[in-house]
Amino acid sequence: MTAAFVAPEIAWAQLTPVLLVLGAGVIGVLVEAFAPQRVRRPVQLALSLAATAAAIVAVAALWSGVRETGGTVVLDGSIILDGPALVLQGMLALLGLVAFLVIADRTESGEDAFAPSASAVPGSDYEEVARRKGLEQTEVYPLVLFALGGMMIFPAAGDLLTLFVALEVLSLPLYLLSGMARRRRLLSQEASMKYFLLGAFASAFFLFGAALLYGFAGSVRLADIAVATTTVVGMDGLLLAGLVLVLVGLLFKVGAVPFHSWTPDVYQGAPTPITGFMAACTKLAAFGAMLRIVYVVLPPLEWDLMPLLLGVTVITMVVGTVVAIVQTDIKRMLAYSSIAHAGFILVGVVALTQSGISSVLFYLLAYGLATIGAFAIVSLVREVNAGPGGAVVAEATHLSQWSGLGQRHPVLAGAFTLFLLSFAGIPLTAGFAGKFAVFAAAIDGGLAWLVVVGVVASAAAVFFYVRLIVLMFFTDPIGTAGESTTVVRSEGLTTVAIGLGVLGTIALGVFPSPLLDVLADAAVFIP
Amino acid sequence: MILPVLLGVLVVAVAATPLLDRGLGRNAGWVLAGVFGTLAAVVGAQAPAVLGRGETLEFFVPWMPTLDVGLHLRLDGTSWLFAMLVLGVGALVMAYSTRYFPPGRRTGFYGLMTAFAVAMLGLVLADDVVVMFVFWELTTICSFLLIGLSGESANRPAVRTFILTGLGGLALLAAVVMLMVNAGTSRLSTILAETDWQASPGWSVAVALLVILAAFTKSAQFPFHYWLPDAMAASTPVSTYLHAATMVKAGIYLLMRFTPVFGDFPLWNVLLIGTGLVTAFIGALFALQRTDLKELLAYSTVSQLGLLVAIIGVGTPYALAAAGVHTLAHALFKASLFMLMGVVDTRNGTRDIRELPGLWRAMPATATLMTIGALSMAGIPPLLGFVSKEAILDAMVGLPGEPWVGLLVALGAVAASTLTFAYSFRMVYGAFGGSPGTAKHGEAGPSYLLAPAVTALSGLVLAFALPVLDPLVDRLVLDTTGTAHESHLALWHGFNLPLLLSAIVIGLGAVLAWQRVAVDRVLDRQLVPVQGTQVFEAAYRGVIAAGVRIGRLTASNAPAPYLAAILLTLGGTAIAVTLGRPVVPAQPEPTTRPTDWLLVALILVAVTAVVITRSRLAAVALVGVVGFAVALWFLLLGGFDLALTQLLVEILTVVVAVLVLRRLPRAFHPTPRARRLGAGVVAVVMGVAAGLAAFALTGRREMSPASEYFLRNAEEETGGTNVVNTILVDFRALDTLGELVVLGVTGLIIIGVLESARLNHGRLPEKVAGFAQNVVFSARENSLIMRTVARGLGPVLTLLSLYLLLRGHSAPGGGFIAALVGGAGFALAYLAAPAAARARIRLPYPRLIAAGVAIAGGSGILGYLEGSFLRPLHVDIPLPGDGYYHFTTALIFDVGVYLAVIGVLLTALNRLGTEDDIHAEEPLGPGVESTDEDDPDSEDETNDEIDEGTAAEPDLASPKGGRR
Repeated sequence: MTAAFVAPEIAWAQLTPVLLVLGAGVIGVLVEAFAPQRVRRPVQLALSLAATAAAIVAVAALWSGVRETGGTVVLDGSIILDGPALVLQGMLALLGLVAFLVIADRTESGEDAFAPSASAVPGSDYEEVARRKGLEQTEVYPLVLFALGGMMIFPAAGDLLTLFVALEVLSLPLYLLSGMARRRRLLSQEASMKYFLLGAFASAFFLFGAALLYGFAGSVRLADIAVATTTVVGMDGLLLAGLVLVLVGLLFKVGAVPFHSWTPDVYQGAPTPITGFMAACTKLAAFGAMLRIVYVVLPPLEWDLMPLLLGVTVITMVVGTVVAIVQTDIKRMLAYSSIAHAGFILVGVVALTQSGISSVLFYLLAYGLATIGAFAIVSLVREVNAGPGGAVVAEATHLSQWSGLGQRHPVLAGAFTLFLLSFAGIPLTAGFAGKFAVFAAAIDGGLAWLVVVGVVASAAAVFFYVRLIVLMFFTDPIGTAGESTTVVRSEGLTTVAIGLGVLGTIALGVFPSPLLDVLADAAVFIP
Repeated sequence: MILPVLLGVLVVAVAATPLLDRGLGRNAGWVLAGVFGTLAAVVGAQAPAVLGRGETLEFFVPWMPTLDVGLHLRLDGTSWLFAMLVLGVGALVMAYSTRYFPPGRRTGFYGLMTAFAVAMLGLVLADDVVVMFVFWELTTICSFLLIGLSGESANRPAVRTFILTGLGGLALLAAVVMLMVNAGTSRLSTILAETDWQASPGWSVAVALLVILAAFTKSAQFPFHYWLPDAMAASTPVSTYLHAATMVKAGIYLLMRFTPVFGDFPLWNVLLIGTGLVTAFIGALFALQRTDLKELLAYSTVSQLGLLVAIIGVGTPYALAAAGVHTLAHALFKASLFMLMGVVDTRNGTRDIRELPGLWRAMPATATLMTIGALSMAGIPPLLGFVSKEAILDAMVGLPGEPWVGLLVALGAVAASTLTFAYSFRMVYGAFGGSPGTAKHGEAGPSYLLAPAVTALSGLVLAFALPVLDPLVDRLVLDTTGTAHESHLALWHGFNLPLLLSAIVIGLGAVLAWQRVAVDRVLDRQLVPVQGTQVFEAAYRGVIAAGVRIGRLTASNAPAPYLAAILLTLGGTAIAVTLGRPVVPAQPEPTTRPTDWLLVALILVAVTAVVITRSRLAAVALVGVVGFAVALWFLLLGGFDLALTQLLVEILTVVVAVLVLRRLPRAFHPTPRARRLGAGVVAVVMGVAAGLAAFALTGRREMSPASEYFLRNAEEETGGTNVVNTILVDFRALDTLGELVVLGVTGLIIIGVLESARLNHGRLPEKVAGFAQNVVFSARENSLIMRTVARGLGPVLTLLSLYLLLRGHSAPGGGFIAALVGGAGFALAYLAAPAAARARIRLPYPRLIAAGVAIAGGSGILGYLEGSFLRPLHVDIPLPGDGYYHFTTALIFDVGVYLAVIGVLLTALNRLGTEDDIHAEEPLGPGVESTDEDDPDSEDETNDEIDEGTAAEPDLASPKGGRR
């Protein structure tokens, strides 16, 4: 082509965390292709854990640099490694590590959470053969790594195209993973299909919005768009429509009402370890990206777009809470609760203050830890087939099956209670510190009425968490449920993950200050 | 340093309860009582400093400096009083519990009770609003768990209590956040001292209301009073400690703390006095109605708390002094009454006064102690209850403002107190009076009666040692009103108005007690139409029902409604925006031509027909019509390349779609009218929105810098004049290569999915098979014209495609379009074949794909000769005669594109079209032979080779081979 072409300078060092994770994903694919079946799982697991751990180390190593310089613009503005981006990458790697422990775990009888052959037609002979031969779908590991890599790029993306690519990179593996549950295969495939269909629409909205924004600003870089908001006149239609559509795409990913409808179905149908991963990490990544857009591009348009965001915030909190109250399936209940949490986090996002950023980041970590832990516990509580010596089968997700769990498995139920209390925002748990920080930021931003709505919604939310606690500790098991629900013994990785979640939830609840300090330092976006 | 030690020791005690319990069983209470007692003594030892010298002990460690929250603890007079109550009554209740419960382990109970003590002590010691809120919530949680301990029947009361007090806690949280944001600190004493409460009256009122709401829910004030009797489902020690002596006093404590700032707000005074007196009166009235001793005591507590709230509302130093004394007096007599009630209950197996015999003789010690407690409650001299009641009446009469207001308030208190006298009598008489009988288990032992005796008798002793209380009261008044006060508590103040009022109380009360039969008859009915618990349950059910209703909106299994919600939101927004008439800039030039309307009409008709038709085939064809119309439009606008591509894609889409359609029923599933209507609305809204957006948002910019660059420099830099093609193979060759790989992967996926899911092996739907005998479906007869045409057209199309490929760089054409043309040729050949088996195009399509990608990539490597991947090389090859042929490696790249696209198209045609083979091996009827000699399954598994097994003679093909 032309001799004038100049390759951009690439600051490879700043990309290390992302490259580690994505690179491990690529190696994982090669392992699938060439390694003998026996060794695949241990190799994949070691690779995944090493990659996420190394990513955490890399983030830590980059940290001081970012603190001094405020951040680096990589790849000519496609990726921006500033404080929030790096913090989110670190959190994502950490939560990814914890999620991997849950994903990798197997029951004593060697069953993991995934279908032996995900493409087999449910109930077919082929599936039965695959099950009997003890096949394992170890592709799960590279898929999760790719999703995690996309999530890590997502909050760091500096232009709309990178953002879109990251969105797809994180979404596509998740669509696939949702359909891979070992039990209740049809439900799982249905979830996958719905997630994909609706996700495709959301991506289309996002892309359409990005195109309109390009039409407005003549550039897809967020910084340029931000400049154009104040210089270009007479094309507000393009700008507003574009921003609304881009935000819709992101709101879909975080599961805000009215773009939430996929959440309960997908959370219910997906393999529980994946649900935990998805609920925690997707939300983290999507809110990271949303923070960047809202704080970098939105301010001059506060009067135009705030009503929309405020409306979404309010109905997300209210609908999430109210509908969660009536759920009878534990995974659906947690799904609606996650919708409500999206609303609470949005309160921090719309605060549009410096403390808004750090409070949202803190909330996300607190929520993520409790979410992965809670779903990890759900994955251990199983139904037992009727009859003597009944086999342990699918997860016991109906609430009534959880009654009396606290009497028989006090430690596990205690951990679950802790996570629920953190969701509810009860003091001395991480959830409280997060909620407090978010609400304080919103009041700082002059949104006291929103906080009132938030507080009322949290009050109602406390109800269904407490109902579950009552159920576990004070209600006797119904009928002969004493035999029909059990806690399956696993190889122990899940226990480690739950332990990490408990430790994190308590530590962040009792001593939130160190992290809040760090976040307050880091919470500056560079354009 | 003493303050954190207090909390620390208690926390250690909580941790130690399981061990204690394992070793000592229910007697673990003695150890805990010892711990509580020691700590009480430690706090008591601070009295000279705190009360005598007026010092305030403080302690501080930072907790969340970022949020400016720290562990500020402080011990002043008010805190001292409440801390003493928490620890002192706590010690006694622990001792009492050792005998109340039957022998056995009580881990949960002791652990939670001690944890509650930590929370309550923390609450009264906290000098940080956030820390105070945290402890406030912890008391709520402990209360919830302690009530829940009593078993299944206590579940609902526990939940009701929790939710109500939790709501109050949230009100407190709101107040706390407002205060913090305003003051910039979370330190309570600073906030109270430095906030400018006059600056924004609305804000101050809001804070005051929130604080009042929190206090009223916690201290069971009307209309939230019902939770306290409800909470009596808990065991007696819990009721004694939490719901009589300490937790319900947290609201009182909160009101006292905020008296310095709100004490002279008229709203504060009116609300507190009004609500307090109403609560005091109805509480006493309900108490008089009850026959269950515990319920009676619960309502009595409600009533007494009302009195306390009212007197705090008065707000004068005298009033706060009276409030302090009465808090102490109430804690003492109510604790002893509750504990004694528990004794009666456990010794007789009932606590209903209708079932209890006259226990005067059987349980003399219990009776004596209970009488002392009841006398104190009724306000009879010489007991502490009398002193505090006198003080209350005195302070009420002295209410600032019009004298008659004070008198009126005092009369309200008199009415409540009269009823108090009556139910006190009713309680003692009900339990011990009447015809003598025996207790089921006899009199309680001394260790059981120790704790109630201490509380009951201290009420008597303190009445004779009133000067001891003076410093406490003075300090408390100083803390809560900021004024120095010298109180002189005494049993006898001479003849004055309060004494007269007291006399009236005793006189009227005595009359009520004397006429108790008549009183019972009057009260033996439902006094109010609504009950608090019922209102609560109704609200609760309402919320659940609302949730179900909202939940049902989204509880669909079909994704369509989900999508509808999103689409309607967006479309609605867009239409709303349009209705706001935004300014749309004019188009730079006129854009509409008459022919456009023709096309619009054509598209509209076709789209409408698509929506209406039930036949899948017709729908595909109609969508094709829309596609052709759009292609025509492109052509009219001069986009020849675009039009060509669109046209070819449409053709091939229809062909492939038809292949797929053969597996599906001929008609769409019938849909209900409502569903169609709904979908129609959504579609129209979205269509209008999209149309408006397209009109408003496009075509109003100049060409982008990128397009301009390509148009200007394409020929000069690449030697090609077809800009579209130069972008594909020169400027953006890497992108194209990527897309090529994706395309190739798609081809492989078609094979993989159809194979692994065995979709190829399913039966065709019956509806199609049902037409099998119809001559129209006979492929052989039917395809005659097609075959004839195809024979001639096939080679032409192939040649045309090669021509388009070669000239693509400079004129419309190029690898992609050429491949589409070639693909159309193959499709024609495929469709023309009488049987699917014969139609197989014997080309190794996966290898074609692979070869295409490899050639494209390989041509890229050639670029390294000039320095970088995919850089096109240019060579001018001299032609025979004159001139040169301009050759560029971009052409090789384009060949790669051509092969890959052809490969994918062939994959689709072959793989989607093969199922007839598979069925052909099952004879359909007599005389019909299968065309396949090999097992098609095994052949599919060796998939990528030319299929030899189907190289059958045309004549062998069954006349009905393609009919399904």
